[in-house]
Amino acid sequence: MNAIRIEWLGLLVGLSLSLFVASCNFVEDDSRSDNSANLTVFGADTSPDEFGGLAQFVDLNQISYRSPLGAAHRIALTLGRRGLTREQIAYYDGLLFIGDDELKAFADAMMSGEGFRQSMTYWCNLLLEGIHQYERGEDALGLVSDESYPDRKWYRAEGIHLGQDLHEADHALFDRYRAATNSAVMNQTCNLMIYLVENGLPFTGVLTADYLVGNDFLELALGIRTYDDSRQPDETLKAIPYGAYPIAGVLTDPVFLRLHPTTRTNVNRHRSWFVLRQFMDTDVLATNSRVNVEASILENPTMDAPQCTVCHRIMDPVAGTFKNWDSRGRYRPREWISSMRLPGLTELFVLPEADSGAALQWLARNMSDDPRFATSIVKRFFHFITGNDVLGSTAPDSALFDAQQDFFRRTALLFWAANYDFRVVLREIVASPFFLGSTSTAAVFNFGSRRVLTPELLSARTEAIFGRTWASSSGTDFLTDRNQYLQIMGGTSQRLRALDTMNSTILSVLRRMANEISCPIVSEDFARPPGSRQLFFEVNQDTLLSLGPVVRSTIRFLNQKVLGLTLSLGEIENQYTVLRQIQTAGQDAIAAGMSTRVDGYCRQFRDDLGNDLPPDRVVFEDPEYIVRAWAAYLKVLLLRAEYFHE
Amino acid sequence: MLSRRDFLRRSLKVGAAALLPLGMSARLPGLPGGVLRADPTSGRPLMIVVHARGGWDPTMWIDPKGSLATVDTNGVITVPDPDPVNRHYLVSEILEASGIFYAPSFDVDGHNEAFMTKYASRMLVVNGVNMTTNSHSNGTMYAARGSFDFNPVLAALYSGSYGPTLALSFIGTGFTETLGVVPVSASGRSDLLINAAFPNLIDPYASETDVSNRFFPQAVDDLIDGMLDNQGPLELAQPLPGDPLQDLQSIYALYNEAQGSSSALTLLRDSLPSEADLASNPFPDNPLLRQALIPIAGFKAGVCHSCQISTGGFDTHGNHDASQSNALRVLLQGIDGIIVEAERQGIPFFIMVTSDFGRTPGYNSGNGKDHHPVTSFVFIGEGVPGARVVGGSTHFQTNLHVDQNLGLLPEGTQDIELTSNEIHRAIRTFLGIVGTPLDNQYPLPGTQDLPIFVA
Repeated sequence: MNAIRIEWLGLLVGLSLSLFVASCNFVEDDSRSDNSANLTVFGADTSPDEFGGLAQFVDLNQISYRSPLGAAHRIALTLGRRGLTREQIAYYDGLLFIGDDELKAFADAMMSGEGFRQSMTYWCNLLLEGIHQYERGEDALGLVSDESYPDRKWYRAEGIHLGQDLHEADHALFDRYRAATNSAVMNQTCNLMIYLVENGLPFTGVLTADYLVGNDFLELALGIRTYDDSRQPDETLKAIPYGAYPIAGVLTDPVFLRLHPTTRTNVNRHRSWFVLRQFMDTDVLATNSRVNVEASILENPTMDAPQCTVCHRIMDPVAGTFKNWDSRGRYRPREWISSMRLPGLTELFVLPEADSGAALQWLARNMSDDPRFATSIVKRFFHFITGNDVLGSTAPDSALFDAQQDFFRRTALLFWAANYDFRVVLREIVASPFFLGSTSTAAVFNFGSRRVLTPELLSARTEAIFGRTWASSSGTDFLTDRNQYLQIMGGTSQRLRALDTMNSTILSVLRRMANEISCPIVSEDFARPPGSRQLFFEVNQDTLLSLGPVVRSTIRFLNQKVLGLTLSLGEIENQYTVLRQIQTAGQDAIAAGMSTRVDGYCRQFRDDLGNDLPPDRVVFEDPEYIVRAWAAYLKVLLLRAEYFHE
Repeated sequence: MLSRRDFLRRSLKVGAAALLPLGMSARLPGLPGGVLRADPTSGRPLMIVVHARGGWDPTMWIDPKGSLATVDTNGVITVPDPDPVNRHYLVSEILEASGIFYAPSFDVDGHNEAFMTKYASRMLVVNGVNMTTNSHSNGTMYAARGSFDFNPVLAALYSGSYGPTLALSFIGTGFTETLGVVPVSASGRSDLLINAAFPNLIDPYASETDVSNRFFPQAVDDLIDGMLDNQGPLELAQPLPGDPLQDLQSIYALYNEAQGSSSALTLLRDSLPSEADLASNPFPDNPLLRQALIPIAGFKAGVCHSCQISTGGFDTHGNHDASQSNALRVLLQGIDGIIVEAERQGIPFFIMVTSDFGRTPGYNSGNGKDHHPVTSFVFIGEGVPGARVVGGSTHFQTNLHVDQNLGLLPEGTQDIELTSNEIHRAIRTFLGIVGTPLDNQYPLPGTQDLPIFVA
């Protein structure tokens, strides 16, 4: 271990103790009686490899892991929002065992591309608790000020699009520019996270970055770029220096500040509570903040009433560091309220006068130096990715609590040792038994995930595997649009806690989805040229289902592709039999008068570019009920528990 | 071939224990047997918990504290109240309906007066309730479950006791901790819910026997259902011992339970109100009423037992009077609309109105009021003794203690302090939850059983 690490660890121990003591020990994992173990773990002669690991807490023989194919399937979907390719399926299906290094290398390979960005953006929305509620129209643009974003509605300017005598194409362009600008402003922090990861920068930049991250649309909104009619704005993410106010990552993101506003009497306490909880692993409301009536009506209860000061001594100094930002998220430097605690990270660690004008930059620097930052990030993303709760010290399963804490501390240290390379956190989580493992013995604690996918994740999975979502012809996603099924399904895009257990309402929506998309998925794939197909490699729309070998092989592949499972020969045979029965039932219905043609929503006449398809790829007539039999079979896969759970 | 009706019949016949997910059956020993439909004729009401988000001000409505200023005959203040709890009405202007005192409305629309005139005779008010917290999240939790401990919210406990497997047993928003005693459903657009209730039909209102209105012919759907019914692990080529994907028993159980009861959702189609049905409602567009439409229709259809809904705008740290009044208007008109709709549908109901806490007895420098732990609870519904007030508070909203018979004690006399805990204990007794397995599993702290619901 090098000297720097030793120094950092020493600091970490000291700072941990002082902060935890000063904060009356609100950090749940340290409220347990194993602080001595904590010291050992963070001791100067300790490295990540010297953690006892899970074996301290559980018989590792009782943890089982997914198959290599199952593991790759889940990691690809979770990190990269990708379905496995045919070649990947063949490779991982051929492995009996996958080593830790190969697993992590595969995880690394999934941390790039548009799908990974979408995953990061999804987790970012969870971390900020609902920033995406401003995704419509100009909602986010309406939150930022003229002085910092003077051209936030630049696309309305004369000479670009005036909304008069516009051609249809101009309307579409106007809508696209508006949406892109709104997204660029709304997603500043999310894009910052992506930028940090993609450029190998320390993830502490989420707090400390003194620049904005965005694309040309953000620059246009900021008024530091002029629209050039001759070229489309570039959507590449970049660091944007901007001097209108002292920038400190998420802390000064105006949309974040509007999402978490303040009032004259709240005086930034909500912001403080939120930042401490999300980035400092300290939830001052996690305890029962009980008060009595007398305390409530004291002249200055937050300073004088013991029942109040227990929380406010932690919360109020950080609240003070937001002093220069008003309720509308605007930079308005001012003096802090004299009747409150001094601005700072804690009561004892106060803001120097010299940093008063850039108090949040000072806070960000000191938060990023605090060991709680690493732990906090690990815990948050552990929850987002595995779906498992971070257990509190009063959890009934003490062994699982201990195992989680061990994992958090070890991963936090690896995170720090890698100079806060966030990919380490993702890699450690998805390669852990908390993500890939399971314990089948009920007496042992519950490794592995057990949740119904949220509608957002279900939509992402559907797109990753099939290349399309459940959407209207105009593109409205039925699962993620807040006016569609999102609310019934209990999604997360609004400030709802996502429903992650099954109920019959959710199942009914899933059945509706399976009915509506199974046939288009099948027909779209048959309409593709053979080299571009994702699902049907060995059969065409007119391949007779009586051709057993290729049909069985297709059944096998579809289960691998959609569910990440390789069926036994017996299981394939059973399913083949039912598929044939489905076809027979369909043919009987045709004989009784049902149309020989697939329904209108399932027909394919043109390719993605609008060109007429060659006759052999047009999907229209289905006299033998082959296309629809495959659609019915796909409906079964979409309604398997393995599809919509993880 | 199973028709929809057969499906429904089958789902209603299967015993609850058989349908429970594994984890749940372990939690529900001795569940009241086989209850799969709420029975509107049983007299057990639909529970509607209405939460006023942000901490309401009871002194603006049901625990009135007027200004102590004196005025001349022309209404001009001659001696101002230096520290008024409320500015917009005097103590002498406090109103009364059916023996319940209340504050006059801040706005000229008179929403307080209209509501109290209509419903005071059916209202039970508990004033001077000490929530013992000024934290929104803790106050919300305490109001919903009567305990700071690890308990399910009341509406979940109620549904969990009497119909945990109903399709929409508990519809909830906000703080809906269930601890797994019942699944929580979200509300939403009723037309989408009907689409989902008839997933195999292209148009849920058109014929289900017309093959052109089906995604797949009935015979095909029956084969599909045959593959999905009673889902269990698939047989794999190289099964690994304990492979997580082979270890989804609890998930399969949940799926199968949901599969068994989802067809009951179809009953909603006939009980959801049309816009014409709502035309006679005094506040058809009220957002609170809109949240309650599916629960009410669901109860009528026998698939829902409880809901937890909310309306916001009560956290009035600034510009208190006008803002609080606006929020109160939505609340009171919403409750009015809900009662009208429930009675139009002919269902019994039990409405509980709560908030995080109360607001300070006076104004801050921004004409707002901050957090104060003393608040009120209001109840209306089946069997609730009306025209009744329990508990109370002083002019400056210190809560007064009561004796065992709920007699109000003078300020400073210590006996029983009314908190959310005492109220929830009384509700459990009133609704017959006491003694059920869930009541035993999730007891409330304390020992005071107060006759709050006894006239």
